[in-house]
Amino acid sequence: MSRYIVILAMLGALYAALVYAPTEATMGDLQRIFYFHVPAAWAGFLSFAVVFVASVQWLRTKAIRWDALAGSSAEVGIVFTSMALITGSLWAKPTWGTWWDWDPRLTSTLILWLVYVSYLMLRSTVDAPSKRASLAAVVGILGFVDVPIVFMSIRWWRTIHPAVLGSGGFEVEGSMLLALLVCLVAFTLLLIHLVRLRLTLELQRVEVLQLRETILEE
Amino acid sequence: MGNLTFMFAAYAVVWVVVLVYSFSIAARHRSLEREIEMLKAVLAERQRVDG
Repeated sequence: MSRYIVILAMLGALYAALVYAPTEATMGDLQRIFYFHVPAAWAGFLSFAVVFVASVQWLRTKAIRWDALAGSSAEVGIVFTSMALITGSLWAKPTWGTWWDWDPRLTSTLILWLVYVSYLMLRSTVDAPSKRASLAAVVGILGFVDVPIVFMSIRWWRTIHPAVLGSGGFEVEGSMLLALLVCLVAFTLLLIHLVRLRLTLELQRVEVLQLRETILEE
Repeated sequence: MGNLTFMFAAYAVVWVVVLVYSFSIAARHRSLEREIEMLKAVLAERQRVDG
């Protein structure tokens, strides 16, 4: 996928969010944060789902590309979850009067972020590639348990965080929904692009390790 | 800060994070590419010396 498609999609998302979408009656322009906040959280969830699948595949096949995909996707997922946390905080301050609240949705998202930061720290502390991949895969699989908890937190507990998806589908309608869908597609394309770039990097790192081993063996 | 300032700050954060992360990947990519070329050169030189 060309980087130009991703840039065009992101510019389209910007247009949809800032120009096409109508101004919300209660919050005004502040509500436009929604169009980048929700897709950032979605892209984070999707990245961690890829970590989960790739971790299972590593444990099944022991093929290094699955471990490389899991590590790459975890890093990209942290980037998107960080965006969701920061944009959420910038939305919370004028709306709730505070930068942060220990609300179930916010707390479970922070835990999710911390789980995958720990996952990357684990990957950087274990030297043996196979042992590192297996340990990381276990954390990658167990860590994913928090994703449905984050998603369901607004249904399971009392929360001040609004719901985007209700029992009857999306809680927004019309041009707001269309703008949101454009942003979701753009963020998904951005996610795929970043994971592909990061995966190339991870495979290069594997190549470096293999070349070093070959030199040491000779 | 007004509501518009918060909105622009949120959008700026997203774009800055994406740009910084993309540049960080590109920089790491160039560094690894250089290292791969160097290691391949070392390997080729050793194989040439060993005959």
